[in-house]
Amino acid sequence: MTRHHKKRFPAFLWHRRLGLLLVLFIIMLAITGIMLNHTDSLQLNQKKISNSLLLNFYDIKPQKPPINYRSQQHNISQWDEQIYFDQKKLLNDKQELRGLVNWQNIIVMVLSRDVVLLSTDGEIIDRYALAQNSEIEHIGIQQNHLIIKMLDQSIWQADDDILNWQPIAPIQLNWSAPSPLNLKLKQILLEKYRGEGLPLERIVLDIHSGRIFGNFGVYLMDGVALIMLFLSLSGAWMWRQRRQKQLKKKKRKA
Amino acid sequence: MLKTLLILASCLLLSPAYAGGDYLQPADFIQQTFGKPVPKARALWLDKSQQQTIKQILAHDFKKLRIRYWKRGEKSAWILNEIGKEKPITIGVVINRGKIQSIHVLSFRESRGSEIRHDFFTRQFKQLTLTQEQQLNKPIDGISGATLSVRAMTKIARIALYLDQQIRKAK
Repeated sequence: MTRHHKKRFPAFLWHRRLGLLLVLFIIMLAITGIMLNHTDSLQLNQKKISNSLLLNFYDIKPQKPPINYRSQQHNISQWDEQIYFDQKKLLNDKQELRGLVNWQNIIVMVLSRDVVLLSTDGEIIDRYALAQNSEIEHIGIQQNHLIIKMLDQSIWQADDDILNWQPIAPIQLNWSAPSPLNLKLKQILLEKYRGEGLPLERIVLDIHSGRIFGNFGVYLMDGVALIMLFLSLSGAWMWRQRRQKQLKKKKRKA
Repeated sequence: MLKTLLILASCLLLSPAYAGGDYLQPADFIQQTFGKPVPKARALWLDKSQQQTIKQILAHDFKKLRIRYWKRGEKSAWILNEIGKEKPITIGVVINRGKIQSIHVLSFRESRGSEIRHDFFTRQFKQLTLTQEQQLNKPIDGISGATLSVRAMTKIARIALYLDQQIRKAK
């Protein structure tokens, strides 16, 4: 290509430059497009990706750090709205875990409004809302009696069956306090929270559409589509120009 | 004309999408039912067959081992939860001599279907009893757009009647 030609055919130059720019995109679109056309035979929907970097990238992670309370041999922890008894999912609730105590042969756990009685195997014995206007702040034991402190600072004591609560005078107690989760259990629960991972089809689809990079990716792929449109038109136009030239040459020779 | 449009627009903007709320505190429900002094809560411990019956009525798993209730004379009151579409609806049921005396929505957390709290709907449950097949002895007319909430309330009514039968049997 001479300098003379560059000036005469700027469309050809742009066609070449933009074509080179799009090479990687076109390869990616072709591969992901073929994959998506054969989703069923490639079983893209059944294949799950649980790579932690990718799941973090998709923001599939707890929004808040886990809250954990320990009862003798068990951990009860809350990951956003999921509450786990050791590794078993116990509840799905918006209420916050506020504490737990071992009492006789059971575990008494308090959420911000509810009292939950659990067997030592993590079976739910009973759960009911404490009919108070304020939220529960803490739970503790004093002289073998279950005591709850509300956010409004009122103190309530349970009867022996933990069915009825009576107000009592303010007292100082060692209230149930959160304890850190060990790393192994934390990792296991994080995996449980995340579920079985993302289907490969979703990832391929997001790469194909550009959504994997959010709105920027979508606009980028829009740009790529517009350039491809330009390339198809400029290609057709250049072919026509050449064809006309060839025909003229033939006529001259004739 | 402009004023009407503005009023309509502000109504649309201000109307919340969330139709739920706390309509009656459990303590107020118990006090309304029994007056003062309020009886102490009792517990019904469920055996395997009772749990199984409740599971059958609910048509899903039921995990509790005991249920709180309040009782004075022939009257018992129950506060039970059942999922409507996605979230639990808290319903209070009063049973008197084996018949429903009243049923109330205490808390409704779903976005649709809160119409079941209104008297025009809940009065259908009054005086209903339980058949041997654990069904209500009369059909309940539904509310369009609140099918799942109606279903949840019907299940709770059946369970409360069943539990009342169990405490009367135990007596």
